[in-house]
Amino acid sequence: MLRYLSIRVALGLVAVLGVTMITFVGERTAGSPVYLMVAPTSTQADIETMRHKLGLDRPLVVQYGIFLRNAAQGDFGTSLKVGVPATQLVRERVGATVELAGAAFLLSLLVGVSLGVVAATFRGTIVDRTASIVGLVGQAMPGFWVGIMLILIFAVKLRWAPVAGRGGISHLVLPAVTLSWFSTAAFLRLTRSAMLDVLESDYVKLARLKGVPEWLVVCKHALRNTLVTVTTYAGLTIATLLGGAVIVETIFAWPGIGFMLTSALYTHDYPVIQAGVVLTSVAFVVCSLVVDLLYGVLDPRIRHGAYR
Amino acid sequence: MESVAVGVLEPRRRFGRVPWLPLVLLAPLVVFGIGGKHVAPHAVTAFNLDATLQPPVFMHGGAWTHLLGSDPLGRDTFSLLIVGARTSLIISVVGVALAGAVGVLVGVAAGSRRGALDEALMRIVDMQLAVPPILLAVLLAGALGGGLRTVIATIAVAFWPTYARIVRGETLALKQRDFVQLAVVAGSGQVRIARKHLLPNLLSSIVVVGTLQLGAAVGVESALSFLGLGVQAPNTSWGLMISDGKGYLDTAWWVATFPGVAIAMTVLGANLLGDWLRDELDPTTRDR
Repeated sequence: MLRYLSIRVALGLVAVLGVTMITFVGERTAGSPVYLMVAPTSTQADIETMRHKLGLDRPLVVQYGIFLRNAAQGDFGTSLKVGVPATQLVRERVGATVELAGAAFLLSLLVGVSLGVVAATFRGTIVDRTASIVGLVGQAMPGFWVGIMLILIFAVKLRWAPVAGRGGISHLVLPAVTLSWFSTAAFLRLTRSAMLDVLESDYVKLARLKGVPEWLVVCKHALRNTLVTVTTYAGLTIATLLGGAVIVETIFAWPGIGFMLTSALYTHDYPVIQAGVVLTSVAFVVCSLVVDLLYGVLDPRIRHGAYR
Repeated sequence: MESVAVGVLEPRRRFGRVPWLPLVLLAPLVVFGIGGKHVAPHAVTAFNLDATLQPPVFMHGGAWTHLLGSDPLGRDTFSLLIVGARTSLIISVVGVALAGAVGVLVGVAAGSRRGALDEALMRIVDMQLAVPPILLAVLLAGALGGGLRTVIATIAVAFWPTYARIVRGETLALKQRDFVQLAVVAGSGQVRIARKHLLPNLLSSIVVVGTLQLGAAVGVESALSFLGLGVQAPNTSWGLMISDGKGYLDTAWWVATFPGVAIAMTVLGANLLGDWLRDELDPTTRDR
Protein backbone atom coordinates (compact mmCIF):
# COMPACT_ATOMS: atom_id res chain seq x y z
CA MET A 1 0.00 0.00 0.00
CA LEU A 2 2.73 2.42 1.00
CA ARG A 3 4.77 1.41 -2.02
CA TYR A 4 1.77 1.98 -4.27
CA LEU A 5 1.13 5.37 -2.71
CA SER A 6 4.71 6.56 -3.03
CA ILE A 7 4.93 5.45 -6.66
CA ARG A 8 1.70 7.28 -7.43
CA VAL A 9 2.85 10.48 -5.70
CA ALA A 10 6.20 10.33 -7.48
CA LEU A 11 4.48 9.81 -10.84
CA GLY A 12 2.18 12.73 -10.10
CA LEU A 13 5.13 14.97 -9.30
CA VAL A 14 6.85 13.94 -12.54
CA ALA A 15 3.63 14.71 -14.42
CA VAL A 16 3.36 18.18 -12.89
CA LEU A 17 7.03 18.81 -13.64
CA GLY A 18 6.47 17.70 -17.22
CA VAL A 19 3.57 20.11 -17.56
CA THR A 20 5.60 23.03 -16.24
CA MET A 21 8.36 22.17 -18.69
CA ILE A 22 5.98 22.04 -21.67
CA THR A 23 4.35 25.29 -20.60
CA PHE A 24 7.68 26.95 -19.91
CA VAL A 25 9.22 26.18 -23.27
CA GLY A 26 5.93 26.63 -25.10
CA GLU A 27 5.04 30.04 -23.78
CA ARG A 28 8.54 31.32 -24.47
CA THR A 29 8.46 30.19 -28.08
CA ALA A 30 4.94 31.53 -28.61
CA GLY A 31 5.66 35.17 -27.93
CA SER A 32 7.30 37.57 -25.59
CA PRO A 33 5.63 39.89 -23.12
CA VAL A 34 8.37 42.44 -23.73
CA TYR A 35 6.59 44.07 -26.66
CA LEU A 36 3.50 44.64 -24.54
CA MET A 37 5.58 46.22 -21.78
CA VAL A 38 7.56 48.83 -23.66
CA ALA A 39 6.27 51.95 -25.37
CA PRO A 40 5.39 51.50 -29.06
CA THR A 41 8.06 54.06 -29.94
CA SER A 42 10.87 52.40 -28.01
CA THR A 43 14.14 51.50 -29.68
CA GLN A 44 15.80 48.12 -29.96
CA ALA A 45 18.03 49.14 -27.03
CA ASP A 46 14.97 49.77 -24.83
CA ILE A 47 13.61 46.34 -25.73
CA GLU A 48 16.92 44.70 -24.87
CA THR A 49 17.00 46.53 -21.51
CA MET A 50 13.51 45.27 -20.72
CA ARG A 51 14.44 41.74 -21.74
CA HIS A 52 17.44 41.88 -19.44
CA LYS A 53 15.34 43.28 -16.60
CA LEU A 54 12.91 40.38 -16.91
CA GLY A 55 15.76 37.90 -17.16
CA LEU A 56 14.51 36.72 -20.56
CA ASP A 57 17.94 37.14 -22.18
CA ARG A 58 19.39 34.22 -20.22
CA PRO A 59 19.56 30.68 -21.60
CA LEU A 60 16.25 28.81 -21.38
CA VAL A 61 17.70 26.11 -19.12
CA VAL A 62 18.93 28.73 -16.65
CA GLN A 63 15.54 30.44 -16.69
CA TYR A 64 13.81 27.13 -16.03
CA GLY A 65 16.22 26.34 -13.20
CA ILE A 66 15.53 29.68 -11.55
CA PHE A 67 11.80 29.12 -12.00
CA LEU A 68 11.98 25.69 -10.35
CA ARG A 69 14.06 26.97 -7.44
CA ASN A 70 11.62 29.79 -6.75
CA ALA A 71 8.53 27.65 -7.33
CA ALA A 72 9.79 25.11 -4.79
CA GLN A 73 9.69 27.96 -2.28
CA GLY A 74 6.19 28.94 -3.34
CA ASP A 75 7.27 31.93 -5.42
CA PHE A 76 5.95 31.93 -8.97
CA GLY A 77 7.07 35.46 -9.73
CA THR A 78 5.14 38.66 -10.21
CA SER A 79 2.46 39.14 -12.82
CA LEU A 80 3.95 41.11 -15.68
CA LYS A 81 0.62 42.74 -16.37
CA VAL A 82 -0.76 43.76 -12.98
CA GLY A 83 2.43 43.70 -10.89
CA VAL A 84 0.99 41.48 -8.15
CA PRO A 85 2.55 38.15 -7.10
CA ALA A 86 1.11 35.36 -9.25
CA THR A 87 0.35 33.22 -6.20
CA GLN A 88 -1.75 36.04 -4.76
CA LEU A 89 -3.74 36.28 -8.01
CA VAL A 90 -4.31 32.54 -7.92
CA ARG A 91 -5.38 32.65 -4.27
CA GLU A 92 -7.89 35.42 -5.01
CA ARG A 93 -9.41 33.44 -7.85
CA VAL A 94 -9.35 29.87 -6.70
CA GLY A 95 -12.52 30.34 -4.65
CA ALA A 96 -14.54 31.29 -7.72
CA THR A 97 -13.39 28.20 -9.61
CA VAL A 98 -14.08 25.91 -6.67
CA GLU A 99 -17.56 27.40 -6.32
CA LEU A 100 -18.30 26.91 -10.02
CA ALA A 101 -16.78 23.45 -10.37
CA GLY A 102 -18.35 22.31 -7.10
CA ALA A 103 -21.81 23.45 -8.14
CA ALA A 104 -21.38 21.80 -11.55
CA PHE A 105 -20.16 18.58 -9.93
CA LEU A 106 -23.13 18.31 -7.57
CA LEU A 107 -25.53 19.19 -10.36
CA SER A 108 -24.19 16.59 -12.77
CA LEU A 109 -24.03 13.92 -10.07
CA LEU A 110 -27.58 14.53 -8.84
CA VAL A 111 -29.25 14.94 -12.21
CA GLY A 112 -27.14 12.41 -14.10
CA VAL A 113 -27.32 9.60 -11.55
CA SER A 114 -31.03 9.98 -10.81
CA LEU A 115 -31.92 10.07 -14.51
CA GLY A 116 -29.72 7.03 -15.05
CA VAL A 117 -31.42 5.11 -12.24
CA VAL A 118 -34.87 6.02 -13.52
CA ALA A 119 -33.92 5.01 -17.07
CA ALA A 120 -32.56 1.63 -15.95
CA THR A 121 -35.54 0.91 -13.68
CA PHE A 122 -37.98 1.57 -16.48
CA ARG A 123 -35.85 -0.16 -19.09
CA GLY A 124 -37.25 -0.12 -22.60
CA THR A 125 -40.06 2.32 -21.83
CA ILE A 126 -40.51 5.77 -23.29
CA VAL A 127 -38.80 7.20 -20.17
CA ASP A 128 -35.70 5.13 -20.82
CA ARG A 129 -35.64 5.97 -24.52
CA THR A 130 -35.96 9.70 -23.84
CA ALA A 131 -33.25 9.64 -21.17
CA SER A 132 -30.91 7.73 -23.46
CA ILE A 133 -31.45 10.13 -26.33
CA VAL A 134 -30.95 13.12 -24.01
CA GLY A 135 -27.69 11.53 -22.82
CA LEU A 136 -26.39 10.87 -26.31
CA VAL A 137 -27.32 14.25 -27.73
CA GLY A 138 -26.17 16.05 -24.58
CA GLN A 139 -22.74 14.48 -24.84
CA ALA A 140 -22.44 15.56 -28.46
CA MET A 141 -23.13 19.25 -27.88
CA PRO A 142 -20.01 21.36 -27.37
CA GLY A 143 -20.05 22.84 -23.86
CA PHE A 144 -19.15 26.36 -24.87
CA TRP A 145 -21.96 26.43 -27.38
CA VAL A 146 -24.45 25.19 -24.78
CA GLY A 147 -23.28 28.12 -22.64
CA ILE A 148 -23.93 30.60 -25.43
CA MET A 149 -27.35 29.10 -26.15
CA LEU A 150 -28.22 29.37 -22.43
CA ILE A 151 -27.14 33.02 -22.49
CA LEU A 152 -29.24 33.56 -25.63
CA ILE A 153 -32.38 32.00 -24.13
CA PHE A 154 -32.22 32.85 -20.44
CA ALA A 155 -30.18 36.04 -20.33
CA VAL A 156 -30.86 37.79 -23.63
CA LYS A 157 -34.41 36.70 -24.51
CA LEU A 158 -36.09 35.88 -21.18
CA ARG A 159 -33.83 38.06 -19.00
CA TRP A 160 -34.05 35.60 -16.11
CA ALA A 161 -30.32 35.53 -15.39
CA PRO A 162 -27.39 37.90 -15.83
CA VAL A 163 -25.18 37.47 -18.90
CA ALA A 164 -21.86 37.26 -17.09
CA GLY A 165 -19.88 37.94 -13.92
CA ARG A 166 -19.97 36.55 -10.41
CA GLY A 167 -22.44 37.36 -7.67
CA GLY A 168 -25.32 35.55 -6.06
CA ILE A 169 -26.95 32.30 -7.06
CA SER A 170 -28.47 33.91 -10.18
CA HIS A 171 -24.97 34.47 -11.55
CA LEU A 172 -23.98 30.90 -10.79
CA VAL A 173 -26.85 29.05 -12.47
CA LEU A 174 -25.96 29.45 -16.16
CA PRO A 175 -22.20 28.77 -15.90
CA ALA A 176 -22.80 25.82 -13.57
CA VAL A 177 -25.36 24.23 -15.89
CA THR A 178 -23.01 24.80 -18.85
CA LEU A 179 -20.04 23.25 -17.09
CA SER A 180 -22.08 20.30 -15.82
CA TRP A 181 -23.65 19.60 -19.20
CA PHE A 182 -21.26 17.02 -20.57
CA SER A 183 -20.73 15.27 -17.23
CA THR A 184 -24.46 15.03 -16.57
CA ALA A 185 -24.94 13.23 -19.87
CA ALA A 186 -21.97 10.99 -19.12
CA PHE A 187 -23.23 10.13 -15.60
CA LEU A 188 -26.63 9.34 -17.04
CA ARG A 189 -25.30 6.86 -19.60
CA LEU A 190 -22.85 5.31 -17.17
CA THR A 191 -25.34 4.91 -14.31
CA ARG A 192 -27.95 3.42 -16.62
CA SER A 193 -25.53 0.87 -18.00
CA ALA A 194 -24.12 -0.05 -14.55
CA MET A 195 -27.63 -0.32 -13.07
CA LEU A 196 -28.73 -2.64 -15.86
CA ASP A 197 -25.81 -4.94 -15.05
CA VAL A 198 -26.58 -4.96 -11.35
CA LEU A 199 -30.32 -5.47 -11.82
CA GLU A 200 -29.55 -8.71 -13.69
CA SER A 201 -27.36 -10.04 -10.91
CA ASP A 202 -28.14 -12.96 -8.62
CA TYR A 203 -28.31 -10.96 -5.41
CA VAL A 204 -30.92 -8.64 -6.86
CA LYS A 205 -32.93 -11.66 -8.02
CA LEU A 206 -32.61 -13.13 -4.54
CA ALA A 207 -33.77 -9.89 -2.95
CA ARG A 208 -36.83 -9.92 -5.20
CA LEU A 209 -37.55 -13.57 -4.37
CA LYS A 210 -37.35 -12.73 -0.68
CA GLY A 211 -40.15 -10.27 -1.34
CA VAL A 212 -38.20 -7.07 -0.81
CA PRO A 213 -40.26 -4.20 -2.27
CA GLU A 214 -39.06 -3.13 -5.70
CA TRP A 215 -38.20 0.45 -4.66
CA LEU A 216 -35.99 -0.93 -1.90
CA VAL A 217 -34.31 -3.33 -4.31
CA VAL A 218 -33.51 -0.43 -6.61
CA CYS A 219 -32.40 2.02 -3.92
CA LYS A 220 -30.52 -0.34 -1.66
CA HIS A 221 -29.33 -3.43 -3.46
CA ALA A 222 -28.83 -2.06 -6.93
CA LEU A 223 -27.87 1.57 -6.46
CA ARG A 224 -25.25 0.88 -3.80
CA ASN A 225 -23.41 -1.48 -6.06
CA THR A 226 -23.62 0.93 -8.94
CA LEU A 227 -21.85 3.54 -6.84
CA VAL A 228 -18.42 1.90 -7.34
CA THR A 229 -18.59 2.59 -11.04
CA VAL A 230 -20.02 6.04 -10.43
CA THR A 231 -17.21 6.95 -8.01
CA THR A 232 -14.51 6.03 -10.47
CA TYR A 233 -16.13 8.22 -13.03
CA ALA A 234 -16.66 11.01 -10.50
CA GLY A 235 -12.89 11.44 -10.20
CA LEU A 236 -12.54 11.76 -13.95
CA THR A 237 -15.41 14.23 -13.87
CA ILE A 238 -13.63 16.56 -11.46
CA ALA A 239 -10.75 16.56 -13.91
CA THR A 240 -13.06 17.24 -16.86
CA LEU A 241 -14.69 20.06 -14.91
CA LEU A 242 -11.35 21.67 -14.06
CA GLY A 243 -10.39 21.64 -17.72
CA GLY A 244 -13.83 22.72 -18.88
CA ALA A 245 -13.77 25.61 -16.42
CA VAL A 246 -11.13 27.23 -18.61
CA ILE A 247 -13.65 27.62 -21.41
CA VAL A 248 -16.81 28.21 -19.37
CA GLU A 249 -15.18 30.90 -17.23
CA THR A 250 -14.05 32.67 -20.37
CA ILE A 251 -17.58 32.71 -21.83
CA PHE A 252 -19.22 33.99 -18.65
CA ALA A 253 -16.34 36.25 -17.55
CA TRP A 254 -16.33 34.21 -14.32
CA PRO A 255 -13.34 35.48 -12.29
CA GLY A 256 -11.68 32.10 -11.66
CA ILE A 257 -8.44 30.35 -12.50
CA GLY A 258 -9.58 29.43 -16.03
CA PHE A 259 -10.47 32.96 -17.04
CA MET A 260 -7.19 34.14 -15.52
CA LEU A 261 -5.32 31.53 -17.57
CA THR A 262 -6.81 32.42 -20.95
CA SER A 263 -6.33 36.16 -20.31
CA ALA A 264 -2.72 35.52 -19.30
CA LEU A 265 -2.16 33.44 -22.46
CA TYR A 266 -3.12 36.38 -24.68
CA THR A 267 -0.73 38.77 -22.89
CA HIS A 268 2.07 36.19 -22.44
CA ASP A 269 2.01 36.80 -18.70
CA TYR A 270 4.41 33.91 -17.95
CA PRO A 271 4.29 33.84 -14.13
CA VAL A 272 0.48 33.82 -14.02
CA ILE A 273 0.26 31.05 -16.65
CA GLN A 274 2.71 28.90 -14.71
CA ALA A 275 0.99 29.41 -11.36
CA GLY A 276 -2.43 28.58 -12.82
CA VAL A 277 -1.18 25.54 -14.69
CA VAL A 278 0.66 24.11 -11.69
CA LEU A 279 -2.40 24.53 -9.48
CA THR A 280 -4.73 22.88 -12.01
CA SER A 281 -2.47 19.94 -12.73
CA VAL A 282 -1.78 19.34 -9.02
CA ALA A 283 -5.53 19.36 -8.37
CA PHE A 284 -5.98 16.90 -11.24
CA VAL A 285 -3.30 14.53 -9.97
CA VAL A 286 -4.64 14.63 -6.40
CA CYS A 287 -8.20 13.95 -7.57
CA SER A 288 -7.26 10.90 -9.59
CA LEU A 289 -5.17 9.53 -6.70
CA VAL A 290 -7.99 10.00 -4.20
CA VAL A 291 -10.41 8.25 -6.53
CA ASP A 292 -8.10 5.28 -7.02
CA LEU A 293 -7.77 4.92 -3.26
CA LEU A 294 -11.54 5.29 -2.73
CA TYR A 295 -12.10 2.62 -5.32
CA GLY A 296 -10.21 0.14 -3.16
CA VAL A 297 -12.22 1.14 -0.09
CA LEU A 298 -15.56 0.79 -1.87
CA ASP A 299 -14.74 -2.51 -3.50
CA PRO A 300 -12.56 -4.68 -1.23
CA ARG A 301 -11.97 -7.07 -4.12
CA ILE A 302 -9.50 -4.55 -5.48
CA ARG A 303 -6.17 -4.59 -3.74
CA HIS A 304 -3.46 -2.04 -4.13
CA GLY A 305 -0.78 -4.51 -3.07
CA ALA A 306 1.21 -4.30 -6.25
CA TYR A 307 1.40 -1.43 -8.63
CA ARG A 308 -0.28 -2.25 -11.95
CA MET B 1 -35.27 -23.63 -48.15
CA GLU B 2 -36.28 -26.40 -45.77
CA SER B 3 -33.56 -28.71 -47.06
CA VAL B 4 -30.65 -26.75 -45.70
CA ALA B 5 -28.24 -29.32 -44.36
CA VAL B 6 -27.65 -29.17 -40.66
CA GLY B 7 -24.05 -28.29 -39.94
CA VAL B 8 -23.55 -26.14 -43.00
CA LEU B 9 -22.85 -22.76 -41.51
CA GLU B 10 -24.15 -19.79 -43.31
CA PRO B 11 -21.27 -17.32 -43.60
CA ARG B 12 -21.85 -14.65 -40.95
CA ARG B 13 -22.89 -11.43 -42.57
CA ARG B 14 -20.40 -8.98 -41.25
CA PHE B 15 -22.33 -5.75 -41.52
CA GLY B 16 -25.94 -6.73 -41.01
CA ARG B 17 -27.73 -3.46 -40.41
CA VAL B 18 -26.77 -0.27 -42.16
CA PRO B 19 -26.21 2.50 -39.59
CA TRP B 20 -28.43 5.03 -41.31
CA LEU B 21 -28.58 7.62 -38.54
CA PRO B 22 -24.81 8.09 -38.09
CA LEU B 23 -24.28 8.09 -41.86
CA VAL B 24 -26.94 10.75 -42.37
CA LEU B 25 -25.49 12.84 -39.52
CA LEU B 26 -21.98 12.62 -40.94
CA ALA B 27 -22.92 13.05 -44.62
CA PRO B 28 -22.85 16.88 -44.59
CA LEU B 29 -19.37 16.92 -43.05
CA VAL B 30 -18.02 14.57 -45.72
CA VAL B 31 -19.87 16.03 -48.73
CA PHE B 32 -19.33 19.69 -47.82
CA GLY B 33 -15.88 18.97 -46.46
CA ILE B 34 -14.77 17.56 -49.79
CA GLY B 35 -16.72 20.08 -51.88
CA GLY B 36 -15.72 23.06 -49.76
CA LYS B 37 -16.04 26.46 -51.33
CA HIS B 38 -16.89 24.95 -54.72
CA VAL B 39 -20.33 23.87 -53.53
CA ALA B 40 -21.04 26.93 -51.38
CA PRO B 41 -23.73 29.23 -52.82
CA HIS B 42 -21.79 32.36 -51.90
CA ALA B 43 -18.11 33.21 -51.64
CA VAL B 44 -17.22 33.57 -47.96
CA THR B 45 -14.39 35.99 -48.58
CA ALA B 46 -16.73 38.54 -50.15
CA PHE B 47 -18.17 41.01 -47.68
CA ASN B 48 -21.55 42.40 -48.60
CA LEU B 49 -22.40 45.31 -46.37
CA ASP B 50 -25.83 45.66 -48.01
CA ALA B 51 -26.84 42.24 -46.72
CA THR B 52 -25.56 42.15 -43.14
CA LEU B 53 -27.41 40.18 -40.46
CA GLN B 54 -30.08 38.83 -42.82
CA PRO B 55 -32.42 36.45 -40.96
CA PRO B 56 -32.80 32.81 -42.09
CA VAL B 57 -35.40 32.01 -44.75
CA PHE B 58 -38.03 30.72 -42.30
CA MET B 59 -38.09 33.99 -40.35
CA HIS B 60 -39.88 37.21 -41.16
CA GLY B 61 -37.73 39.17 -43.62
CA GLY B 62 -35.70 36.13 -44.62
CA ALA B 63 -35.02 35.24 -48.24
CA TRP B 64 -33.87 32.17 -50.15
CA THR B 65 -30.62 33.92 -51.14
CA HIS B 66 -29.43 33.46 -47.55
CA LEU B 67 -30.90 30.15 -46.48
CA LEU B 68 -29.57 30.37 -42.91
CA GLY B 69 -29.12 34.14 -42.79
CA SER B 70 -25.95 36.17 -42.93
CA ASP B 71 -23.37 37.45 -40.45
CA PRO B 72 -22.39 41.02 -39.46
CA LEU B 73 -20.11 41.25 -42.51
CA GLY B 74 -22.84 40.09 -44.87
CA ARG B 75 -21.34 36.64 -45.36
CA ASP B 76 -23.78 33.82 -45.97
CA THR B 77 -24.10 31.58 -42.88
CA PHE B 78 -24.79 28.44 -44.92
CA SER B 79 -21.71 29.03 -47.08
CA LEU B 80 -19.59 29.63 -43.99
CA LEU B 81 -20.85 26.34 -42.56
CA ILE B 82 -19.88 24.53 -45.77
CA VAL B 83 -16.38 26.01 -45.82
CA GLY B 84 -16.07 25.38 -42.07
CA ALA B 85 -16.92 21.71 -42.68
CA ARG B 86 -13.76 21.44 -44.74
CA THR B 87 -11.70 22.86 -41.87
CA SER B 88 -13.26 20.42 -39.42
CA LEU B 89 -12.82 17.47 -41.77
CA ILE B 90 -9.16 18.19 -42.51
CA ILE B 91 -8.23 18.90 -38.90
CA SER B 92 -10.03 15.94 -37.39
CA VAL B 93 -8.95 13.37 -39.98
CA VAL B 94 -5.30 14.47 -40.13
CA GLY B 95 -5.06 15.04 -36.37
CA VAL B 96 -6.57 11.68 -35.47
CA ALA B 97 -4.49 9.90 -38.13
CA LEU B 98 -1.30 11.39 -36.69
CA ALA B 99 -2.34 10.52 -33.16
CA GLY B 100 -3.17 7.00 -34.34
CA ALA B 101 0.15 6.53 -36.12
CA VAL B 102 2.15 7.58 -33.07
CA GLY B 103 -0.09 5.78 -30.59
CA VAL B 104 -0.14 2.49 -32.52
CA LEU B 105 3.61 2.54 -33.01
CA VAL B 106 4.22 3.21 -29.32
CA GLY B 107 1.59 0.71 -28.22
CA VAL B 108 2.89 -2.13 -30.39
CA ALA B 109 6.50 -1.38 -29.45
CA ALA B 110 5.71 -1.25 -25.74
CA GLY B 111 3.50 -4.32 -25.85
CA SER B 112 5.82 -6.55 -27.83
CA ARG B 113 9.17 -5.55 -26.35
CA ARG B 114 8.15 -5.14 -22.69
CA GLY B 115 11.05 -4.33 -20.36
CA ALA B 116 12.55 -0.88 -19.97
CA LEU B 117 11.08 0.46 -23.20
CA ASP B 118 7.58 -0.51 -22.12
CA GLU B 119 8.08 1.05 -18.68
CA ALA B 120 9.40 4.30 -20.11
CA LEU B 121 6.70 4.64 -22.78
CA MET B 122 3.85 3.84 -20.42
CA ARG B 123 5.12 6.32 -17.83
CA ILE B 124 5.02 9.00 -20.53
CA VAL B 125 1.44 7.97 -21.30
CA ASP B 126 0.51 8.08 -17.60
CA MET B 127 2.11 11.46 -17.29
CA GLN B 128 0.18 12.90 -20.12
CA LEU B 129 -3.09 11.40 -18.97
CA ALA B 130 -2.47 13.25 -15.69
CA VAL B 131 -3.23 16.58 -17.34
CA PRO B 132 -6.76 17.73 -18.21
CA PRO B 133 -6.92 17.31 -22.03
CA ILE B 134 -8.58 20.66 -22.64
CA LEU B 135 -6.00 22.44 -20.52
CA LEU B 136 -3.26 20.67 -22.45
CA ALA B 137 -4.85 21.69 -25.74
CA VAL B 138 -5.22 25.30 -24.63
CA LEU B 139 -1.61 25.42 -23.44
CA LEU B 140 -0.22 23.81 -26.57
CA ALA B 141 -2.26 25.94 -28.91
CA GLY B 142 -1.37 29.03 -26.91
CA ALA B 143 2.28 28.08 -27.03
CA LEU B 144 2.44 27.16 -30.71
CA GLY B 145 0.41 30.17 -31.81
CA GLY B 146 -2.89 29.80 -33.66
CA GLY B 147 -3.48 28.25 -37.04
CA LEU B 148 -4.60 25.09 -38.76
CA ARG B 149 -1.32 23.23 -38.22
CA THR B 150 -1.25 24.09 -34.54
CA VAL B 151 -4.70 22.62 -34.03
CA ILE B 152 -3.70 19.44 -35.87
CA ALA B 153 -0.53 19.13 -33.80
CA THR B 154 -2.48 19.79 -30.60
CA ILE B 155 -4.99 17.05 -31.41
CA ALA B 156 -2.22 14.61 -32.29
CA VAL B 157 -0.37 15.32 -29.04
CA ALA B 158 -3.51 15.22 -26.90
CA PHE B 159 -4.98 12.04 -28.41
CA TRP B 160 -2.08 9.63 -28.96
CA PRO B 161 -1.94 8.25 -25.38
CA THR B 162 -5.44 6.79 -25.70
CA TYR B 163 -4.33 4.75 -28.71
CA ALA B 164 -1.06 3.74 -27.08
CA ARG B 165 -2.83 2.37 -24.01
CA ILE B 166 -5.44 0.37 -25.87
CA VAL B 167 -3.02 -0.98 -28.49
CA ARG B 168 -0.50 -1.99 -25.82
CA GLY B 169 -3.13 -3.88 -23.87
CA GLU B 170 -4.35 -5.74 -26.93
CA THR B 171 -0.80 -6.49 -28.07
CA LEU B 172 -0.05 -8.09 -24.70
CA ALA B 173 -3.12 -10.31 -25.09
CA LEU B 174 -2.37 -11.19 -28.72
CA LYS B 175 1.17 -12.20 -27.90
CA GLN B 176 -0.17 -15.09 -25.81
CA ARG B 177 -2.21 -16.45 -28.71
CA ASP B 178 -1.06 -19.57 -30.49
CA PHE B 179 -0.59 -18.04 -33.92
CA VAL B 180 1.81 -15.44 -32.59
CA GLN B 181 3.65 -18.00 -30.49
CA LEU B 182 3.94 -20.25 -33.54
CA ALA B 183 5.28 -17.38 -35.62
CA VAL B 184 7.93 -16.83 -32.97
CA VAL B 185 8.80 -20.53 -33.04
CA ALA B 186 8.94 -20.40 -36.84
CA GLY B 187 11.60 -17.72 -36.50
CA SER B 188 9.69 -14.65 -37.65
CA GLY B 189 11.31 -11.35 -36.78
CA GLN B 190 9.60 -8.83 -34.53
CA VAL B 191 8.81 -6.44 -37.35
CA ARG B 192 7.27 -9.25 -39.40
CA ILE B 193 5.20 -10.43 -36.44
CA ALA B 194 3.99 -6.90 -35.79
CA ARG B 195 3.07 -6.37 -39.44
CA LYS B 196 1.65 -9.78 -40.29
CA HIS B 197 0.08 -10.94 -37.05
CA LEU B 198 -0.43 -8.05 -34.65
CA LEU B 199 -1.57 -5.13 -36.80
CA PRO B 200 -4.32 -7.00 -38.71
CA ASN B 201 -5.82 -8.09 -35.40
CA LEU B 202 -5.48 -4.64 -33.89
CA LEU B 203 -7.22 -3.02 -36.82
CA SER B 204 -10.76 -3.18 -35.49
CA SER B 205 -9.84 -1.50 -32.20
CA ILE B 206 -7.85 1.14 -34.05
CA VAL B 207 -10.81 1.90 -36.29
CA VAL B 208 -13.25 2.11 -33.38
CA VAL B 209 -11.02 4.40 -31.29
CA GLY B 210 -10.32 6.52 -34.36
CA THR B 211 -13.99 7.00 -35.15
CA LEU B 212 -14.81 8.01 -31.58
CA GLN B 213 -11.85 10.37 -31.56
CA LEU B 214 -12.96 12.03 -34.80
CA GLY B 215 -15.93 13.46 -32.94
CA ALA B 216 -13.78 14.53 -30.02
CA ALA B 217 -11.33 16.18 -32.43
CA VAL B 218 -14.10 18.26 -34.01
CA GLY B 219 -15.03 19.35 -30.48
CA VAL B 220 -11.46 20.28 -29.54
CA GLU B 221 -10.96 22.20 -32.78
CA SER B 222 -14.11 24.24 -32.28
CA ALA B 223 -13.29 24.98 -28.63
CA LEU B 224 -9.79 26.17 -29.51
CA SER B 225 -10.99 28.29 -32.42
CA PHE B 226 -13.72 29.69 -30.19
CA LEU B 227 -11.08 30.81 -27.67
CA GLY B 228 -9.08 32.44 -30.48
CA LEU B 229 -6.29 29.86 -30.12
CA GLY B 230 -7.18 27.78 -33.17
CA VAL B 231 -8.15 28.58 -36.75
CA GLN B 232 -7.75 32.30 -37.47
CA ALA B 233 -9.55 34.60 -39.91
CA PRO B 234 -9.62 34.76 -42.93
CA ASN B 235 -9.92 30.98 -42.62
CA THR B 236 -13.17 29.88 -41.13
CA SER B 237 -14.30 27.16 -38.78
CA TRP B 238 -17.43 26.34 -36.83
CA GLY B 239 -15.82 27.35 -33.56
CA LEU B 240 -14.74 30.68 -35.02
CA MET B 241 -18.29 31.30 -36.28
CA ILE B 242 -19.70 30.75 -32.78
CA SER B 243 -17.13 33.14 -31.41
CA ASP B 244 -18.11 35.73 -34.07
CA GLY B 245 -21.80 35.27 -33.37
CA LYS B 246 -21.40 35.57 -29.59
CA GLY B 247 -21.53 39.36 -29.79
CA TYR B 248 -24.77 39.41 -31.80
CA LEU B 249 -27.02 37.20 -29.70
CA ASP B 250 -29.68 39.87 -29.22
CA THR B 251 -29.88 40.86 -32.89
CA ALA B 252 -28.80 37.77 -34.85
CA TRP B 253 -29.06 34.52 -32.90
CA TRP B 254 -28.54 32.39 -36.00
CA VAL B 255 -24.88 33.29 -36.46
CA ALA B 256 -23.84 31.43 -33.28
CA THR B 257 -26.61 28.82 -33.30
CA PHE B 258 -26.21 26.95 -36.60
CA PRO B 259 -22.49 26.13 -36.30
CA GLY B 260 -23.20 24.60 -32.88
CA VAL B 261 -25.91 22.43 -34.42
CA ALA B 262 -23.39 21.36 -37.07
CA ILE B 263 -20.82 20.42 -34.41
CA ALA B 264 -23.39 18.52 -32.33
CA MET B 265 -24.57 16.60 -35.43
CA THR B 266 -21.04 15.66 -36.38
CA VAL B 267 -19.98 14.58 -32.88
CA LEU B 268 -23.20 12.61 -32.40
CA GLY B 269 -22.71 10.94 -35.78
CA ALA B 270 -19.12 9.99 -35.00
CA ASN B 271 -20.06 8.65 -31.54
CA LEU B 272 -22.93 6.56 -32.92
CA LEU B 273 -20.80 5.25 -35.78
CA GLY B 274 -18.03 4.35 -33.34
CA ASP B 275 -20.48 2.49 -31.07
CA TRP B 276 -21.94 0.70 -34.07
CA LEU B 277 -18.53 -0.32 -35.37
CA ARG B 278 -17.54 -1.62 -31.96
CA ASP B 279 -20.68 -3.74 -31.79
CA GLU B 280 -20.21 -5.05 -35.32
CA LEU B 281 -16.51 -5.80 -35.00
CA ASP B 282 -16.74 -7.30 -31.53
CA PRO B 283 -20.10 -8.98 -30.92
CA THR B 284 -19.26 -9.70 -27.27
CA THR B 285 -19.71 -6.05 -26.32
CA ARG B 286 -23.11 -5.73 -27.97
CA ASP B 287 -25.87 -3.91 -26.07
CA ARG B 288 -23.50 -2.20 -23.72
